[in-house]
Order: sequence, then structure tokens, then C-alpha cells
Amino acid sequence: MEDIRLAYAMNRAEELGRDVWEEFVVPLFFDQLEVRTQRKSLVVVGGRGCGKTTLLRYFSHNSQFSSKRHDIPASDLDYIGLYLRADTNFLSSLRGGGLTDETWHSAFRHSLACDLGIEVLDSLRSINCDESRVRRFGGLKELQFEALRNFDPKIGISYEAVRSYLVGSRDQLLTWINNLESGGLKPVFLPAEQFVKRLIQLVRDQLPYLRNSLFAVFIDEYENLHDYQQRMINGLIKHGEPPLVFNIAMKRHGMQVRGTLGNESIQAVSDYRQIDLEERWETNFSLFAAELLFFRLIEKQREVAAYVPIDPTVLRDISKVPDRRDNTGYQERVLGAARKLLPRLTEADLATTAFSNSRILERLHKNIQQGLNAWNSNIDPAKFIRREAPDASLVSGALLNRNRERPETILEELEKYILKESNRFDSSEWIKNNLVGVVLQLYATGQTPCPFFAGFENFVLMAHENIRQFLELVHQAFVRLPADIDVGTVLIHIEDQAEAVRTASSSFVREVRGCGTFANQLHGMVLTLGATLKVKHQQVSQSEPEITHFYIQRGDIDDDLDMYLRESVKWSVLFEEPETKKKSMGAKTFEYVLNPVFAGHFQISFRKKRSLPISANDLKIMFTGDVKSRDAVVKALIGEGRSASNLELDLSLGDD
Amino acid sequence: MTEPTFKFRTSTYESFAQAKPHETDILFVGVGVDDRGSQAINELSSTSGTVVELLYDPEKNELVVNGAIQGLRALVNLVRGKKVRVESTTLGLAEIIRVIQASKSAGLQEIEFTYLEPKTYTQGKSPVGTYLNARDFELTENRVFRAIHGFAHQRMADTKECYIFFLGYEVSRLLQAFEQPDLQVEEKYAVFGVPPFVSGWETNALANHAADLKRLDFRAIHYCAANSVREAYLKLWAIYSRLRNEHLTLVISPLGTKPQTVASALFLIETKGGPYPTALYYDHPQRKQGRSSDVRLWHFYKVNW
Repeated sequence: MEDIRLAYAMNRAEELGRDVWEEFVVPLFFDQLEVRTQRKSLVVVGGRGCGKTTLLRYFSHNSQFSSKRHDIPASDLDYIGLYLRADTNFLSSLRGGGLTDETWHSAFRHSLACDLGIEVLDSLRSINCDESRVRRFGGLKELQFEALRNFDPKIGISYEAVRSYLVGSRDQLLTWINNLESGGLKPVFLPAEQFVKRLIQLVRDQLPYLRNSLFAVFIDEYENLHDYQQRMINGLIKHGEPPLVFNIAMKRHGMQVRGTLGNESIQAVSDYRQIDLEERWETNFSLFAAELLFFRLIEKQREVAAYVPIDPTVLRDISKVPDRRDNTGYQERVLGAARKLLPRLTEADLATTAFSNSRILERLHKNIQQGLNAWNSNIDPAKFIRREAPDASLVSGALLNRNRERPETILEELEKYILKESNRFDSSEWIKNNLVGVVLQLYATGQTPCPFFAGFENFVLMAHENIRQFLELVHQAFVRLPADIDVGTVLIHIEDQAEAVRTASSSFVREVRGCGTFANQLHGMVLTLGATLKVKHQQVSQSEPEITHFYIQRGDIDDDLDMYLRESVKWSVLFEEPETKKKSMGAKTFEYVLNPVFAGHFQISFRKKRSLPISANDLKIMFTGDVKSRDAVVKALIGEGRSASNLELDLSLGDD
Repeated sequence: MTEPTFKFRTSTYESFAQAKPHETDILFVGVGVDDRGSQAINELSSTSGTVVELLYDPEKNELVVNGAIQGLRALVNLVRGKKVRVESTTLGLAEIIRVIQASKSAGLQEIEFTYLEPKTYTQGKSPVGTYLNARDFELTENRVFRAIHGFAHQRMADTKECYIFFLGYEVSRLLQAFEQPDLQVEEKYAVFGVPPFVSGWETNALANHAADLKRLDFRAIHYCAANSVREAYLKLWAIYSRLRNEHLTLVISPLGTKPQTVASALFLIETKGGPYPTALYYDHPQRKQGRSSDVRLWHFYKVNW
């Protein structure tokens, strides 16, 4: 029996391999994508971990004609997906070395011709992957490719001979690149588009079951291509037509150039249709996440099926998507089960839990005393710590450290709150606006992670429409289960979830160091911004609770800063969103939200509540400054002279 | 080539004055970004008839020799019949590879490498800020894994590979290596510099990588002296001899100390075109200005083939 605690260990598409037929949970927007009926090229956009590669691999022949698939409708042969992944390291070698640009363009076309040619041939093998399929479809042994000899007389005639030629020719290209100085033997360069089209035509002419097939190329990691390589692909996108069309997938801002190698350029709508996966996930991500949660459990241990409200065969079935999406009863059952598995605390429970922790009470007492001292008040701090009103007591600690309400007034309102009379904790929304911020502040100085992070809904919010992030959060929670867990009653304790979030979050912060060419600048920015937000969260007054995003208040966004911001968005370190409130007159009207999955590492809120103005200059220092200047930016942003360990009474006007 | 043939003679000194290096005809240097780089270029220049500055552009796959783009042939003509010294502290892997290739093509039997150990890395020396810790920031930036002509490698669905990563302080270099498309390889080994330049530094290097080596499921960890070109070279040969297989490509990723990088360059050149394929996986880092301070030791490595 497999260990269900490891059900979420694999959370990268690459770990699943090319055939994802069994593992693919059909997204709830799938029927709106209209991929198989595409009329023009598709550009799939989204951050890493949002499911681009898995989706592309699902459309590829490896999955669509998987040996694990028992019934293939004839109509499915009308659409053959070919998957190519840009091998950055290798493709970067197709440049320089004293050769002309034209030579490298031809070499890249040749590389494409070989890879695509092999994919076309492999798709036929996928269709005919077993005896019964060969009986139904077949014809590979009889295929004749003599016409391909017009490209190179050395090309063989049979299926195997052509495939072998293409593999050899691809190897020859590599050998030539590695022996440029000694005049290595250059392969006969094949023209990608013409060669592959001819190959497809020969296949369609000879295999009746593919007579109407459209061959759709999916190029993954398009953003990693050189400019000229992108231009060449752009040309194929612009001029692609049945039976061969080109689609790409890339991170946001991944298209460096819109031009082709000629004088044309490609534009959304007229030349391609963009599918923004993160935008698609905005609807129903919670339901999908809950389904995936149980799907993975069943995959790991079949016995779990008796206890969970999903059927894996339904989740794999495209035709069942509307049933899942439109059935509110089903949704409630699935979401309810997910909430039971990963319970959360309501705000009232959060307050009660905090109140039951002696260390938190000590910190609260200290905060209250500090506030009373600032007001020169002799009221006994214990009067503000009331077991019958944990939430109002916790919030009082912050209110006393502001210059708005006198201690006597706050105490009076607290008494009214306890007596359930009309009071400002409710009417002025003191609790609603401040409780989470106060709880985060009280936990921040200790070792225990804040229980605020627990809960399925909170995992979904932190994952921010990102499947990989969601799965990693769940993985870290599951590995904390005991080995002898009863699958029928499994639930993950609040403390374990909170600890899991901190671990997963720290690992995501660490991974920023691997995010592209400017990874260290991005990582430095995350640490500096995170430190700033953390200190803001630790301010006792909580006059601005839950600051989790920023906007650029003043200064020019120069080319460097613009590039760093684009890289941050590309790697999902920051999310760029239109400003909710118009705060500046500048041309740029965006807010930048720190990826909420980092919240656990800094023990700050993951909810988009308040924003922080940052000057362009300070932001640039966050990316590129040395430790000293970055530290100075943190100091300036939190208010000169104030530090995390020595917070003074905040005498600025509150924002409650 | 099926066994190591390169021979090494190493000399180590506490200062340039103590080293009293012999005269050479050509000194190849890069750009000095810290004390030791500047010292190396200034002091060693006085011992050489000609000083040649090299810079490799990994985006364009071009070698710039004294400000002009040049092919390998120009470099061959430059070194033919000359005594060559390569100041490796200031050069990157690509430049070092090209000089070795040129020297071999020109018929030279020996070249000498120099490497200056830093006294301290500024990362460790910087004061800890109130909010930020200098240890969280790294020594290099703007890295990108790019092939070098002569040692390129194409990953295929059916390719069998084994990766050897030399690792130093910076875990980001390893993380970035695995962020590249599809780098899911089973056979992978890490090599750390032990003994390190300074006792205790290895703890930082190991601690920085421990979690990721486990997560990425590395097969084994090897050790070889951080400052020994010979040990790193023989370590590569030891692994290669054990694994060699004409259907398996041994990919070297030198992300550790410069002596290990020099060893990787020598190994790749020696095994290039042999029966058991080898390749390079490298990220061409830009070293940060002022990344280290002072000089601890001067190393001179003579390599014969």
C-alpha cells in the first residue's frame, strides 16, 4: 500500500513525463478553450506552475493516444498535437562562432525540421502503440517517403529509415556545432516548414485515418528562445494554416519581439488567440484545487475513493466538465470535504486560540502596558485582557498604541462589547479591520507559526491560481501526518498546517534564486520588500494592518527598473494588477503584489488589503543595492528610527 | 582518450614577492572586480611581454580579444611558440577553455594558470543589517546557462546523461540549473571543495546546499580540495572511468571554485571527441564588484600534456 503522505510530492509537470493521460484533471475552463477546433494559432500565457506544460502535454500525441487510453474516437485523430520544448542551453549555441546570421537561421530551421519530423513520426507510433490499435489503424510499415529525397537524397524511404535519418541529422548538427573551428561536416540543412508540411502531406495521403488531420505544434518555453528564433516562430505563427499550425506557451512578458524575420509582425486577435491561464483559473480555482486534492489521494491509495466526493474517471472526462462546474450540490460537497481535511480557524476562533497561548498573552500585556505608558494612564492593563472577549481584548492592545482614542474610551467600549451593547468594536469595525493584523503581530515575535495560515481556503489564496504552489503547500501539510493515519478520518491539524505553510513558503522564497538571469536581483527584492512588510506587520499600533502590496509613488521607471519589474512578473515573484485606487498621476497605474505564497516565510498577511507607496529609486535599490543600502530602504519605508524590536507609540493618524 | 594524461606541478606562495614568478611571453587576463583580481593583473603584467585581455560573450558566442572579436584561429596564431600564463582568477570558464584549445592547437606542451585565493569574501564580512543579513545575498549575478561551441549538448527524450556539479557558496547557481527546461536527470553528483580555502568555509557551502541536494535527489556527494586543479581533474576522471559508456553523456557543471573550473576545462578538452561523450553545462556568471577582499595565497599551476 502506498504512503498517502507522499501523494503531493510530485508537483512539477516535468516529473510526470510526456504522457499525462492518467494524471490529467480536466480544468473547469477546458471546454471554453476551443483548442481542438482552433482556427488560428494559440499563445498560452502564465507563470511557472500554473499548468502550461501539463496542458500542452495533454494535447500532445503522447497523452491523446496514450496506451493507457482504451477508447479513441475516430474524431480524435483529426487533431494531432506535437510537443516541443525549447532547450535553451542547446539553442543558445546556434549563434556566433564567426558564422553569418543566415547560416544560423538555416541551422535553427534544420533543428526544427528534425525535431518536428521526429514528432510527426512518433505521433503515428503513439496512435499505433499496441496490436489492437495497429489492427484498427496501422499502415506504418507500408509508408513510402520517397518524395522526401528531394530535400536530401540520403533520406530513406520507410518510416524507420526517415526517423533514423532525422535522428542522425540532428546528431550531425550537434557534432558540426562542436567542431566549427576544425571544419566539421555540416549536415544538409532542411527547411523546417516545407519539410514538415511535405512529410505530413505524405502521411495524410497514405493513411486514410489521418486524411483530415490537423497537426498542431506546441512550443513550450518560447520565452527562452533567442530573438531571431522567436522571429522565426512568429513567422510560422503568422503563416500557419492547416494541416500545420504553430502554437506557443510562455511566461508573461515572454515575447521579446513581435516581428518576423521579414517585415511583418504578429498581433493578438488577428494572428493568434491568447489563452491567459491565470486569468482562466480566477473562476473555479477553489473547486479544481479541491478536486485535485482528492484525485491525488485516490491515485496514491485506491481505498480513499470510498471516503471522498469525487470520481477520478469523471475528472478525466472532458464531457463531464459542465456537470462539475454547474452543479452547486457537487461543488459544496467537494469544497466541504476539502475544508474538513484542511480546517481553518474563524476570526473568533483565531482570537480564542491566541488567547489560550500564555506567550501571546504576555506579549499582549506588554503591548497594552506600552500603550498605557504612552498615554500616562494608570489603568491596570489586566482590565483590557478579558477572557469573555478575546477578540476585542487583542484589538485593544493595538488601539491603545494609537493617538486616537483615550484608554478610558477603549475600556468603556470593551465593557459595552462584553455586555453586548452598542459598541465601536463592532460599529467602527475595530475588530473586523484589525484582528488579523493584531494576531499576526503577536505571533510574529515568537517561534510558533501563526494559525491564521491554516485552512483550505487560505491555501487556495496563497497559491494564487497556481497549481504547483497549492500542491506544495498540501504536500508539506501531508508529510506531517503520522504514518498510521486512518484514511477515513484524516484531517490535518491547524498547527501542522501553519508549520507546513512556513516551510513551503520558505522553500518558494529560496527558489526565487533560480528564477532566470536576474534571479539574485529578484531574490534580493523579495527579501527587502518582505522585510519591510514584516516590520510593518510588527508595528504594535497596527494603524495600517496587512500591507501586502505596493505602488510606485514617484520617480521615473527607467529601462533597468522596467526590466526588473517585468522579470518579477514573468517569474511570478510579483503580480501586476491595475491600481484599485488612483493614487498617482503617473502614466503607470499598476500595483505590485508580492506573491502571497511568500507570506508564510515572512509571517505576514496573504490577503490583498493595504498598499505601500515606494519611490522608483527605493524600488531599484531593492533589486540592485548592496545589503547596507537595502537595509536603509527598509528603515526609510518603515519610518526612520523605528525598529522591529523597539516600536514607539505611533502618533500618526490611523487608517481604520 | 580513456585515461588521464595531463600532468600538474603546483606552487603556492603567500605573496607575489615570495612567488617571484618567471617571465612569460603572454599573460591572459580578464577584468579585475576585487582586490585579488587587481593585484593579479598588476603584478603579473610585469612578468609578461604581452598582456592580452579576454572576454567571452555567452549571448553571442563571441570571444573578444583586446577589444576585438576574434575566432580561435587568431588565438592559435597569438600563442604559437610562446610561453603562456593564464590568470584564472579574473577569467571565466569560456575564456579559459579557448586559451587551452588554442595552446593545444598551436602545439604548446605546457601552460601555466594562476589563481589568487581571497582572504575573505565580502558577503561573510559585511555587517549584518538591522533587517537584512548579508549571508542571504550572493557573489555573482546575471547568470544564464548557455552552451559553448565545442561542448554543446542537446537534451533528448531518450538521452542518457550523468551530471557532475561542482558546488561552492552559491545555491542559486544550482537552483537555476534545475530551473532550466526539463532538467530531470537521475544520475547526478555534487562535488564540494574540501578541504576548503579556509577551514570552516565548507560548512557554509554544504549548509547552503543541503536541503536542495536532498530535494533534487542527488546520488552522492564527492569532495576534493577547493584549491587543487589536479585533484578536481582526477576526481572527474575517477567518476568518468567508472561511468563511461558510449550511450551516456557525462555533463560537467563547474559552479564551484576556480581551480575546479580550470580542471573542468582541461578534462572537457582532453575527452572531447573521445568514445565516451562529455559536455558542458555552465551559467557564465558575472562576478560582483568587490566580491572579496585581500589575498590569502598565490597559486601557480603548470599543466603539461
